[in-house]
Amino acid sequence: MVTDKYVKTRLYVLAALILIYIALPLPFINTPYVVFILAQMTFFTIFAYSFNFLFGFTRQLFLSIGAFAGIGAYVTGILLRDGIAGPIEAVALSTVVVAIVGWAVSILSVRRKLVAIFTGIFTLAITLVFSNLVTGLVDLTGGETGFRIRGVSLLFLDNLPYYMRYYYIALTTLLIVTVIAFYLIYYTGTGYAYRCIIDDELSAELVGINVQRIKTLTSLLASALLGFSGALYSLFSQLISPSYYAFGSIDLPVQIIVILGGRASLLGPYIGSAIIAVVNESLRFLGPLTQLLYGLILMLLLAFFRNGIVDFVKRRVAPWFY
Amino acid sequence: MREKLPSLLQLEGLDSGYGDIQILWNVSLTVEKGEVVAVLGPNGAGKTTLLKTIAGIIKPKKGRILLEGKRIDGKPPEKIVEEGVALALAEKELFPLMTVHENLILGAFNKRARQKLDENLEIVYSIFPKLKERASQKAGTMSGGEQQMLAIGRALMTDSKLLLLDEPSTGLAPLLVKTIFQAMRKLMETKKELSILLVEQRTVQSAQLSDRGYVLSNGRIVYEGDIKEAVYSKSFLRRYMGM
Amino acid sequence: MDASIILYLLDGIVFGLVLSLIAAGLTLIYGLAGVLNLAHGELLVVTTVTAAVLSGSLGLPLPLALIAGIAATLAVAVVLDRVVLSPIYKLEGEERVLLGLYITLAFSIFLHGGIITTFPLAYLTLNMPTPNIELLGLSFRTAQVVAGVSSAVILLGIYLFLKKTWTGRAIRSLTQNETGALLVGISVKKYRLLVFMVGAVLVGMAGIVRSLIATVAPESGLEFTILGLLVTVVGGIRSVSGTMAAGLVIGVVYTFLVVVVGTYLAYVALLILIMVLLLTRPYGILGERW
Repeated sequence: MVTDKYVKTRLYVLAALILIYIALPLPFINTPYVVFILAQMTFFTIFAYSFNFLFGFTRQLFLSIGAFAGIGAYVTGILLRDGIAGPIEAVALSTVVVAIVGWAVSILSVRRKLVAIFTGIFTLAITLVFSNLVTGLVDLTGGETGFRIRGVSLLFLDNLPYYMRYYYIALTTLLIVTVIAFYLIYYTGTGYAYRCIIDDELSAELVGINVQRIKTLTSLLASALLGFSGALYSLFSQLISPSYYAFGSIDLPVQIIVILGGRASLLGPYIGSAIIAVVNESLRFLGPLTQLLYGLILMLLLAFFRNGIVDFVKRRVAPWFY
Repeated sequence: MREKLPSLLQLEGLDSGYGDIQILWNVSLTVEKGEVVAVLGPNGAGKTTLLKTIAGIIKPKKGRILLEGKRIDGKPPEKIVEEGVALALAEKELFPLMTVHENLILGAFNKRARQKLDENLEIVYSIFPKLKERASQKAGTMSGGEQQMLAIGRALMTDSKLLLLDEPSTGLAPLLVKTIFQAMRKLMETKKELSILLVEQRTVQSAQLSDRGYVLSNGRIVYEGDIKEAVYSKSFLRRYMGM
Repeated sequence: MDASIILYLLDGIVFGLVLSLIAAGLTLIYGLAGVLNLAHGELLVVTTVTAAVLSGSLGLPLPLALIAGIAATLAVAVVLDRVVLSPIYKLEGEERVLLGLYITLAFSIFLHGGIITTFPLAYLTLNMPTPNIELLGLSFRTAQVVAGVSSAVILLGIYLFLKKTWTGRAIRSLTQNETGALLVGISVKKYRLLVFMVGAVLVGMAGIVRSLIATVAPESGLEFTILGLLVTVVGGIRSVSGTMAAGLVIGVVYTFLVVVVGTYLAYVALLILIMVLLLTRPYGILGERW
C-alpha cells in the first residue's frame, strides 16, 4: 500500500467528485445542449483515462485511442444495424475485440522492446489502417458518411431525457473505473509498480517487478475500457462515421486533457476534460481558427506547464494546507 | 631558463565534479613539452574526471588550467580541441556507421589539423598498421582492441600538442592489452614532441612508458615524482594503490 | 516487358524520390536534435501555399514565387528550432524525444489551423510547357521526367554534401555520436539550426517536385508528415542512405499496390507491411545498428 500524506485528501476529493458529477446535469434538465456537452465531456474523460493508464502509468504511447474507440463503435454499430446481435451482446463483443487488439499490440511492442516513440509510430499506423479501412470498405461501413443506428432501450434509464441517459451511463463507467484504479494504486502493490515503471523501467525489473506483465495487463484493461466506451459512444451519437473517431477528433483532445490534467494522475483527466469542455464551448465562435489556438495552447502548456494541474496544485498550493 | 618557459599544461588548485558532487579536490599538476606523464590510482579516484575537466567536457568549479601559459578552463570542448588538446576516452565514442578511414578524417576536423591531414594519416597508419588494413570497415563492427586503436588514432588526427589518454587498456583481453601498450610505445617513439597525459589502472606497464607520474586517490594528488622505480616498491603500492 | 509497367515503375520511383526528400530531412533533424519533427509535412505546405498565393493572386513570376516559398519555409524552420523547441533542448533522453514529438505536433496543428483558415484555396500545380516527350518508343509525361530527374539530382547533392564536405561530415558524426563529435571539436549547437534549414529546403523542394506531378492542397501537411515518418522508420531512423532507399521502395510498392487493389486498400496494405517491418527490422531495412 502506498501511503503518503495525501491519501486522506484524495479520498475526500474522490467523494466530492462523485457527488458533484451526479448532481451536475440536474440544473440543466431543460437545456439538452448543456447535458449533451456534459455527456461528451464524460466520454472524453473515459478515453483520457485509458490513454493515461497506457501512457501516463506504463509509458506505452498509444496513438490509437480514437481508432480503438472506433473499432468498438463500428463493431457494435454494424451488429445492431444488421440485426446480428442485441445491444448487450454487441457492446460485450466490442469490449472483447478491442481488448484483444490492445493486448496484442502491447505484447508485440513489449516483446520487441520498442521504445515509446516506436510504439507511438506503430499505433499511429494502426490509426491510419483503421481510418482507411472504414473509409474504403464502403459496403460495410458506409464510407465517409458512415451510417446511422436506431436508439436502443436502456431499461429504467429510458425515463430520463435522452442525453442524460448516456451521461449517467458514462458517468457510472467512469466512476467505477476511478474507484477500482484508486483501490489498485493506493491499496495494493500496483501503485508501487507503476511508480517504478515511470521512474526507470530497468530498475523496476531489477527489483522484481514483472514489467512485461503489468504493461500488457494494463493495456488489456485500458483497451477493454476503450472498446466498451467506444461502443457506448456510438449508441449515444447514433451516427458512426470516420470523422468521429479520427486522430484529430479523439486522440488530440485526449492528449491535451491528459497533459493539462497531469500525466499519471487519477484526478487529472477529470480536470483536464472539464477545462477543455469549457474552453471548447467558449471558443466555438472562432470557427476554424480554434485549431490554431489549440496548437498554440498546447505548445505553451508543453513548454511551461508540462507536469499538469494536479502536480502544480500538489507542489504550489497543497503545501499551504499541511 | 626552464622557469621562464610556461609548462605545456599546468593545473592549479583544480576542483571539479558532476553537479553537486565534487570529485577532484585542489589538484595541481604539470606536463612539460614532450613529456609522458602517468596518473595512477585506484578505481573511482577521479582519473577520468580529471581528463574530462582538462578537455572542457566538465566545467571546473575552482582553479585554473593553463595551456602554454594561456587559460583554457571554461572554454567549450570544441575550442580546447582547437587549442591543441585531444582526448581519447575509454568508452571510445567512435562513429559506428562510418568507416575507419572516415573516423580518422573526422579527427582532423579543426582547421590546423585539416592542413596536415595526409601527413598525420600516414603517421597514424604507420603506428597502427591494423587500422590501415581495416580502413574501409565500419567502426561499429570492429573488436574492442581495434576500436581502442581507432580512438587513439582519431585523437592523434586532431594534430594536438597534448594527448589525454583515458584507460586505453580497459576491458581488453590480456593479449590485446600487450598490443595496445606496444602501440603506445611506438607512438611515443614516432611522435617525440607529443606530450601525453596517461591515465591507467595498469600501474607497472604505464610506469614503464612514463617519464614521471602522479597518484590520485579520492580526488586528491597524494604522490608526485618518479614512478619507474617506485611501482616495484611494496610500500609504495600499499600506501598509494591500496594493494 | 509491358510498356505500362515501365510507366508505373517511373510513377513509383518519382513518388518515392519525393518521399525520400521529405524523410531525409526528418532523419537529419532526428539525428541532431533528438526530435521527431511532426511539423515536417506542414513545412512542405508552407512552401507550396506561399508559392501559390504569391504567383496566383499577387501575380509574382513563378520562379520568384517558388524561391519565396522556400524562404518562408526556412523562416518557419528557424522559428521551430530557436523558439518552439528551445525548452525541449534542456531535456535529455526519452523525455526529450516524447516532448519533442508532442510540441512539434502542437506546432503542426498551429500551422495547419493558420494555413487552412487563411489560405484555404492555395493549391499549387506546376504545368510543363510540353506535356509529353517520346523516348524509346514510349511517351512519358514531361512533368514526371523533370520531377524524377530534379529530385534525384537534389538527393545526389545532399548525399555528396554529407559525404564529401566538412560540414556534411560534421552533421553525420553528430547523428552517430554526439560525445565523439565533441572530442574532435564539433559542437551540436552550431549545426542544429543548419540541419533544420537543410531539412526545410529539402522538404520545400519535395513540395515543388510534388506539385509537378500532382496538386498539393493546403490541408495535406499531415499526410506528408506521416508518409515521411513511415519512410524514416522503415529506412532506419538514423541512417540517411537507408531513408533514401526506403523512400524508393515504399514509393514503388505503393504505386503498384494502388494499381492492383485500389487507393484505400493499397494504403492499408502498405501500412501493414510497414508495421511488420517495424517489428521485424526495428533498425531499418538496411539493418544498420548504431
